[in-house]
Amino acid sequence: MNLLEVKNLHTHFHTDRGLVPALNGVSFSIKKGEVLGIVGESGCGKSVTSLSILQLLGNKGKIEKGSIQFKGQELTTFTKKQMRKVRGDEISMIFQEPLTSLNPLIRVGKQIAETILLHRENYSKNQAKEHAIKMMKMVGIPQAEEKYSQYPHQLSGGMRQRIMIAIALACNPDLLIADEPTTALDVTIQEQILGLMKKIAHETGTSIIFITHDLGVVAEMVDRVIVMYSGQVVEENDVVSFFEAPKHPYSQGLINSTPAIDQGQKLEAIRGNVPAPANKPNGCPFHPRCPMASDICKTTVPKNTYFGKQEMVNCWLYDKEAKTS
Amino acid sequence: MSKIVEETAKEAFGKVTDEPILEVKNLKTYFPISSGKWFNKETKYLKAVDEVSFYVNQGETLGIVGESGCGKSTTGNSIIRLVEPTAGEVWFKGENIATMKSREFKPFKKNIQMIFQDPFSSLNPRMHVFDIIAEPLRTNKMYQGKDLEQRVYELMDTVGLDPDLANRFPHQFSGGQRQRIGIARAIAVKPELIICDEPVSALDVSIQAQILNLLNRLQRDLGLTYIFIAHGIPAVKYVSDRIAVMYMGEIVEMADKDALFKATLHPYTRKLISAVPSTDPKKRTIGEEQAIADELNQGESDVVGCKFADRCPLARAHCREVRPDLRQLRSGHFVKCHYPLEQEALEENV
Ligand SMILES: Nc1ncnc2c1ncn2[C@@H]1O[C@H](COP(=O)(O)OP(=O)(O)OP(=O)(O)O)[C@@H](O)[C@H]1O
Ligand SMILES: Nc1ncnc2c1ncn2[C@@H]1O[C@H](COP(=O)(O)OP(=O)(O)O)[C@@H](O)[C@H]1O
Ligand code: SF4
Ligand code: SF4
Ligand SMILES: [Mg+2]
Ligand SMILES: [Mg+2]
Repeated sequence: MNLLEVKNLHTHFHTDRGLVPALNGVSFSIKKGEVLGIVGESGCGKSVTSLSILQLLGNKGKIEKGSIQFKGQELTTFTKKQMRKVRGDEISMIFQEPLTSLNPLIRVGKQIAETILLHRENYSKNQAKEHAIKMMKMVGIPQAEEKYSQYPHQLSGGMRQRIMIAIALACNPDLLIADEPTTALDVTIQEQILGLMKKIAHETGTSIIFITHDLGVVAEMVDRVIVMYSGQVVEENDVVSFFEAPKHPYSQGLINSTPAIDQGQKLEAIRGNVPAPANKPNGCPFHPRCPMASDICKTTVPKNTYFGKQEMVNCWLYDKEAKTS
Repeated sequence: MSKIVEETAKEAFGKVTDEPILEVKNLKTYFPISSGKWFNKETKYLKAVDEVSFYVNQGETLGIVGESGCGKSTTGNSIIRLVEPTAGEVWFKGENIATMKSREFKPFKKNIQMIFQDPFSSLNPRMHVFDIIAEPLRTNKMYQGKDLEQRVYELMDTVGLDPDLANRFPHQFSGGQRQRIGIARAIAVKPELIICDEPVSALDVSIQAQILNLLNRLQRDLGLTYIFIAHGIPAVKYVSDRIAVMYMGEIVEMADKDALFKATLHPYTRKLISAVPSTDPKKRTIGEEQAIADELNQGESDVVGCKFADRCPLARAHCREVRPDLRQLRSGHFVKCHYPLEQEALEENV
């Protein structure tokens, strides 16, 4: 059974300047112990997808349609109180910038202990502190007892990200959502954090959704990839086929525009920019940037074409090759 | 015993270069930081740039890589004197521009332009794109009236911006387009050298590729020389002819791009390169054993010996006592290390 199953998710923001249809029918699933990568340029809807799962959309954002099944329960019907219980306990999240997501006025160790106390009512303060220090050691923080009583600004970026991971894992969640967890870090620190996340996935069996636009990180970390464009999933593939034979022209564009350390190919940029959700073009949303676009692409939205259970592409080029749904 | 040429960088410069347009020698830029109690105040210095020497040949791209805080931007800023260097020489086309008076420096300033990381904050939000690009032309009294207009439109076209958008404000453009505005402004006064400080780091990969290809085309068409500062190693490898690796205010290795990757000499360079994930999922290199913390120890730059010794797997007692010099081990390949990797291989084979 899938741990998480997202089906036909539509999330909109109702802003003063009008409606922003950020997600338009996103579907994907993740199994227990699996690492799923979500890739796509800025503004494609990666973060809104994860914020929708956690229902952290603020008062302007709303899930208009669709279903989010987590361990067989429908999260979209959960009350605020029920969601608070899920967050941090069963599903937790790590963000890109650890300095802005940690409270600058509270000692880092205490921030971990507070999360534990929030979800484990039977713990005493001392037990929570002990557990927090244990977590700090697990994420590789040297002199954990000493660091427990330091403030976020006293730690380096890499150490702050380790604290965030310790908070996220404190209650042994089933699902960890990591949104660009290493983008703000140097490669040498990134290497350590990625190594740490591999260790965690291996030791705890936690499923991970890894959101990143760095394809090197994707190749290194994930089992399966979904590619998002303009609030939709345009390709779903296992990681090896994604790099060796990407199907969607957008996936091909992303790979061809990524400089690689181990090859000297010429970079081919994708022309143009991601459209704003309110100015989404007719037909296939990628058509103004697509080198393969034909007339039908400009007028009619392509259907999903499936190859087996876990391989999908949303593009007219594949319409006749396999059965559509 | 192989015949390893051992020369310090100082002696070697001038012999190996094709034709350097810029030579930086023993550049130091220190920032005062006060410490101690108010009644016992002592001024300490943060050695942001500490003994940096390198050269850039006419028409090439020199990449500078290194971890955050290692002094890359301060090096670039010291060359164009956005910050005043504490000591050292910067030779540009035969003149030492590091020590000349600001009035003498003015014509050189025009000849060396800069492109910054953040296209969002480096452009004046209240100015039309037209005026942003025209500003350096007006300041340098290069074009007037109809000619000025013509030149601005031509520049917009050159960098791939629609001249019809000249009357818009920066916030009406995407990140990639804003970087194009920054580039148009930088090339407006026909400089010979452009220092690009993290020009694509804030952009998505697909847009990064657009900008990198634009920079390459402009280099070819206009005969530009670039210093390309970035922490993204694959992007630096893509655009550079030669690469200098910085660590805690020092250049620790400098070589042709291929030599740097294929015949790495400095242990730090090896560490840096091996940390970059490959885009081949069948060649995964990061293991769980790499989860261990090991961080750049900032502020403690007062060490006597090699600054990398605390993180270096090859460090010996001698490394902690004596700071290595930047020396040329092979033609054009410089390294600041007592026991460089190739030598290690040679010794193992004895
Ligand atoms: N609070 C909000 N109000 C209005 N629009 C929003 C809000 N949050 C996100 N959006 C819009 O929804 C779209 C998707 O945003 P999202 O942040 O998910 O993109 P992303 O792919 O994660 O981008 P990035 O890589 O920059 O984080 C964007 O067009 C964004 O402007
Ligand atoms: N104006 C300044 N005053 C004090 N310290 C500075 C100043 N500018 C830079 N530094 C410090 O100098 C070091 C090198 O900075 P910088 O060159 O900006 O690094 P980077 O390689 O990230 O570009 C850092 O420790 C930085 O904090
Ligand atoms: S449907 Fe058409 S425009 Fe869209 S990706 Fe496929 S070929 Fe390109
Ligand atoms: S001098 Fe010694 S410590 Fe420094 S990099 Fe070379 S081997 Fe390592
Ligand atoms: Mg995001
Ligand atoms: Mg910088």
